[in-house]
Amino acid sequence: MDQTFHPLLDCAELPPGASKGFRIDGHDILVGNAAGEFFAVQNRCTHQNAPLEGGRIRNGLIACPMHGVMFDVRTGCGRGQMGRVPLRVYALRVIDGRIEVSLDAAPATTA
Amino acid sequence: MNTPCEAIQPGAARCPGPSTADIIRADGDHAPAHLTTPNYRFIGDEDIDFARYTTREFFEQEKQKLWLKVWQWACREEDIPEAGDYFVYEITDRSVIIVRTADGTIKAYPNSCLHRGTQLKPAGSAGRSKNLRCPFHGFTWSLEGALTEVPCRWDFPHIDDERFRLPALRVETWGGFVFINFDDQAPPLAEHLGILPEHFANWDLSAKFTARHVRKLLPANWKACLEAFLESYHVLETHPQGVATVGDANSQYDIYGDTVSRFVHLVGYPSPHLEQHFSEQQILDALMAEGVVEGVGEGIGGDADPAAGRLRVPEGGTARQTFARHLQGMLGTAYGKDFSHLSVTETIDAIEYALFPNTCLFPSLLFPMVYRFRPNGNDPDTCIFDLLFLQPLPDSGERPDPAEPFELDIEQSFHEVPGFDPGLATIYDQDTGNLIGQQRGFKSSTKHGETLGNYQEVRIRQLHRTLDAFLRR
Repeated sequence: MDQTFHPLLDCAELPPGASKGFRIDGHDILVGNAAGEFFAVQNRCTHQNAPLEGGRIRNGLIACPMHGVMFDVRTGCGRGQMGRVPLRVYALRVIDGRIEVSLDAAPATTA
Repeated sequence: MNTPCEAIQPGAARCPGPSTADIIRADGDHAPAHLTTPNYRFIGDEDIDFARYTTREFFEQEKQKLWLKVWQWACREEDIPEAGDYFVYEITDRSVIIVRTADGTIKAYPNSCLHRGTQLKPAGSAGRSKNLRCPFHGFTWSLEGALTEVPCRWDFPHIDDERFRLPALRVETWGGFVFINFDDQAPPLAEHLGILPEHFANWDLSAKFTARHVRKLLPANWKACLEAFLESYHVLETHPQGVATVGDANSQYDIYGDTVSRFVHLVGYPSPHLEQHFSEQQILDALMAEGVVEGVGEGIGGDADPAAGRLRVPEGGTARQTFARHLQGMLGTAYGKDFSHLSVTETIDAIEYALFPNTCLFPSLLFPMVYRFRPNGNDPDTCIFDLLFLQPLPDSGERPDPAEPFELDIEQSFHEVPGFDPGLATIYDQDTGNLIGQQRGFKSSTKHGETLGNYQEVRIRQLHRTLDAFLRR
């Protein structure tokens, strides 16, 4: 199946620890850099819908800046009682230094 | 049964053979004077009641009179480097938010909304926020603790903003650790630290980062778990694989005031229990064959130039000196630092300080560990063991993120921790493997308490004496 990828920004614009929100065809998507590894997840915390943009990213986890629920950016899995619902994870690729994201689900990641 | 030496005072007897101080002096270098200055005194030989480890009543006393009164470290400063960074610390059934404020100071607040009590941040979480906002109704406080938002404020005419500031707990820092105290009347942290800052003046723990963090649930009371690490008397029976390279029975035990104790456990010196003679080269070969600690195990043999063959003790040298210089070079390369100024003992010996009530700190290069033992919630029978490896910050000044805890349940082995040195994993498995038997044994005994060695187990006695002092207050 062909996936449509949307070019969003240059890798250089997203240093480690940074994240930026985008809206594509009604999807709120957060693109981030976890210690050099780029990821794309839904930019809405599954706890109470706060944007995750700007949340601290450390050791592969993003912490929601509103109430602090933590999610694994690779799998989308949340932690604790308030993180029972995982984040949607989007497929991401880097072409010529440019980050592209597809609205299709990312290939299953084994956690 | 042989009769004890009746002629000498209790606690004065020592293992026959050279003392730890003798052996460190024989290294012939500039070891800190306090390491070769024994600081033992006899503080009693009464049995320690098993009920102190097992009963709900004793645990409740500890909750009220120890944990709510004593300085305890909650996190490392590196856990909250920037404004808005927070860390949730838990002790018994209390939860505390440690926050870095806009001006860089650190605050600690009870993790509870002043409206209807909900935790402001989830248990076990850490992250960065502009403010502290309750997930239930949205009452919000600034990082500095000022009330900034009350949804439907019209319904709370009786709230006075000033009286609705988040109550601040005591916070002080030392060595990169953030200490809190629930007690407004507690003496300053410096008083609690005693001699530690003086001894650690050249072992700056704030210039290190948490390279590894393992958090394991243990099946025994927190004190029993801590005590398993306060003496090397157990080495012969519990870790028989290592006796060729560690002086166990001649370890030096020191107590300082009520809150600090130490052992100096030699590496690169065979156990006095062994009758056979080892050459210095044989000891060095044994050291090189062991993975004593992470990052060293494979590297020890592996990094040696194959053309140069095995590491040799030079004429007139010792295994300790040769091993220390080798480690200084190897770890110096690994961390981009110059360690050549360190004495042999500061490089290779297991020098362990305990800070009351629940922490052990190791300053030497070969042993990067920090231990902390906390009760597991309200359960006297289980304990949370935090094992941190603090490694030197590279000279580049770049500070790596502190490691996330890797969690192990009661039944899991340290061998399951990715990248953990197998030799060390076996040691920790052996140390923690006896605990369930001990906790159960406490409850099966028809004897009322445990009997301690006067010298080798004096640090355990000091722990209980200081605990008693807290419980009497």
